[in-house]
Amino acid sequence: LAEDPTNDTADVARHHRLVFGRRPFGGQDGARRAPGIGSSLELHGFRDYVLGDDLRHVDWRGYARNDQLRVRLHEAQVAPHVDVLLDGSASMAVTGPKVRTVQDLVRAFVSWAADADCRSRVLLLGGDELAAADVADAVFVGGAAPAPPRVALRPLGLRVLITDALWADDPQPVLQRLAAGCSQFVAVQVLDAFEQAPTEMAAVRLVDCETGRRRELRLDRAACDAYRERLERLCAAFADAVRALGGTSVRLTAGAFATICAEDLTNAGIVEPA
Amino acid sequence: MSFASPAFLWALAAVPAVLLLHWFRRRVVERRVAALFLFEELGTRTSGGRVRAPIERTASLLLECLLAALLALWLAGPVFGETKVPHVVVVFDGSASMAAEGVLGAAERRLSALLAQRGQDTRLSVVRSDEPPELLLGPRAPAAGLREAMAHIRPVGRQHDLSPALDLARQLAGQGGEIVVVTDGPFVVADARVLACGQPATNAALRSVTISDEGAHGNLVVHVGSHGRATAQLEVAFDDGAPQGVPLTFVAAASGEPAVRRVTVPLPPSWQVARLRLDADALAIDDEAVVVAEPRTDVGIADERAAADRTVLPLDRVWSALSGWRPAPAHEAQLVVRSVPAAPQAIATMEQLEVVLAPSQGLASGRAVERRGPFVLDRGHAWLAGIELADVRWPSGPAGVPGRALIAADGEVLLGEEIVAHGRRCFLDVAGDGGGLVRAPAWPILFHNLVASARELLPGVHERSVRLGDDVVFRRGAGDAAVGLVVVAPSGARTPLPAGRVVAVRTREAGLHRVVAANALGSEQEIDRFAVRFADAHESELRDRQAGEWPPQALVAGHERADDPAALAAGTRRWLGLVLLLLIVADWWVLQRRPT
Repeated sequence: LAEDPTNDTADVARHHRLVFGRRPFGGQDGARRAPGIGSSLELHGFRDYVLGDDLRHVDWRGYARNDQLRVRLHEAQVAPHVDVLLDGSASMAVTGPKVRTVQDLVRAFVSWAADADCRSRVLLLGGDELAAADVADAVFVGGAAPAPPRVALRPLGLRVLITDALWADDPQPVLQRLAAGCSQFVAVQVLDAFEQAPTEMAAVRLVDCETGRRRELRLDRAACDAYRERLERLCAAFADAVRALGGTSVRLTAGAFATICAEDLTNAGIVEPA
Repeated sequence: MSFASPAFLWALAAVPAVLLLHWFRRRVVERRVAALFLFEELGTRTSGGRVRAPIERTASLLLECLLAALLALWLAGPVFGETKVPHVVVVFDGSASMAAEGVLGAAERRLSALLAQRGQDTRLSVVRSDEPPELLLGPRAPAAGLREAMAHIRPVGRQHDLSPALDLARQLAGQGGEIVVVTDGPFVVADARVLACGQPATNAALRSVTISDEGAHGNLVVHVGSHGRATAQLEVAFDDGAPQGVPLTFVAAASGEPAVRRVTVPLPPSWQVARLRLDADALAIDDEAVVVAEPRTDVGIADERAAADRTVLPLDRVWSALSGWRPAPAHEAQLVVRSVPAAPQAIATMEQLEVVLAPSQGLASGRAVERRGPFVLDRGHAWLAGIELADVRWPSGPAGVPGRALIAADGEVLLGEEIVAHGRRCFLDVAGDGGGLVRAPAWPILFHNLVASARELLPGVHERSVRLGDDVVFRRGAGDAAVGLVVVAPSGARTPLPAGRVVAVRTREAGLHRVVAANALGSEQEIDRFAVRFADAHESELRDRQAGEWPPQALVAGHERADDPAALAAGTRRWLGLVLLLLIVADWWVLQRRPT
């Protein structure tokens, strides 16, 4: 199922960029405003000179006016860390289009972070860091219960959660742990077309890709409608939980990555045309 | 369109079976999902994967129905074109070895099995190879007539060529028939199937039975051949007397050639019929023989020449050197010597050989000619057998005689033959006292040959001991022309003799035959008798017989007959098989494409 991102995917990614929020970020020197005093050109304020201050920051013009030695304070600007949190459950690779979309998203977020001079990591939920290029169907072998990565998350950064959020349990606790300390939290929910809208089938044996449980049933119109209603409730609970944490969520259907960028991610304010 | 195996059309019931399977949805689609908990308590749970649901008109359903229908057609073997009823033409080897123990039964069983394979509608023709071949059943008779035809096979023929029978079979088979040759040994025909039903066996046979003049009354000389047997018992009986047993022991030849024992049995006086029998073995027909004594019959001779001619050229010395003749009046004689040809009305109603013994025209003028040769002789003529004329001086007339030239010299015919209304005429151009000719050995030899030729004109059976399959020649006497004659075989079979002074009848049964005259009152009078015995060393040799089957060479070479129904069905089956394979692949492809 896994394939390298095509040149088309890379081209699509180059035409978009990440949208950073207004909340201050932390990190190395960069272009994003950060809480505290820094060395940017933006003037933050003045304070009295104390021994040891860099004489280059003394406000000599003010000293000439009132003989008071004061030091000019500038705002801090940083390049925020971007942590891509990837749901490693087996359900992420239940179909080929789904796992390909996940691959495209991971690599696009890493690419967008690099374009913004941000340092990025790809962290597997319940696992360790892995390279973006290593995201393949073999990675998605985890169980249904999500857990934070074993690697400590960087504070004041941008965290992107890529998941299908098909969790039977309440997502609030794990989302709180994933979003704790970050400046911006984005949740991208990827679902397969059949997961979004199952087709009617006279007799079907459904096999849970994570637990192996089987169930044979007839998917008629009523059953499909009932399924969609349940899915909507599940997705709404997930979106509400993300929103409650100040984050942004988007639900998209696995498919063409250009459409995902131009419509789903852009409409959600996660990326914008470059 | 017809079908090679129409019973398989029942397989078309597989089509509704496919529909039933789809109706009950035996095939459950399996699909991996991410959140099975969302499907809990949804839909109607299936029962073991079988749910009665409306039939979906899927490509798979259509393909599988088509598969079932084509599979039934494939099994039935459709034959397109004109419907042809199988026609089997059996060429049955009519040679005597086919009568060996167990061969006929095996042949009937194998033929029955073959006809059963060809189908109930098979038409059958049976030809028995013989000289000439004989159609025993058919043409195109129902196959059920095989048993009756086998009852009339009676293979008694000598070794012979099967080609005439095969030619007849090819004419009967036409374009669509199948030729089957039934024999008892290896045999290959390009366009016929060969069923060999022989079994190796040992056998003893009466090779020959002859009568010699040795001894007081002559001897019966018998040659018995052994084809693998170590001993045999020969019984000889004369007329109604008790049989005499002669034990025989054979010494097998190292080369495998049959051993032959010669037995001499003294003939009793005045015997008429001798019956010989060997003890029973694998082949019965060569174990028995009947010999009939040849009755002594003299040729009637009349010398009708003028007294002066008989004085000039006497024949007394010639007649005294010959035996088996008697003087007879001219109207009863078979050989008449004249100086001039008789007028047609003067010749008797019976056939005669007339010898015109006189010089050719011109002798009256005193111009006799002494021929010194070289003489030109027709050596192939029976009258000239053993005649040598070297250094003979032949006095003759100057002009030669009429008739077909048998002896000629100096461009003139000295001995001529002429066919006349009631026999043959021999012109012999001899002048004066015959000169050196009558003193040469050729002179009595010539008259011996003429008497032997005249002996053939005697009424009755020409040769009374013949081999089976030979013709028996019967000559009617002067008083038998209007009498109906019948040949009665040992089995009682009666064969009327055809009209004509000289008739020939093909012998088809061994044993003592009688020629009887049937009168208007229904009583019969025996006119003559003759014996028929079987003798063929090749047919008596049963050690090399074997069973087997050889298909037509055309099929072996892969060249099936274009009009052979089986070949046509096979060709159609090949195409149907290809289509079936494509349909299977298509169905598999369609099923693979279904979402999982």
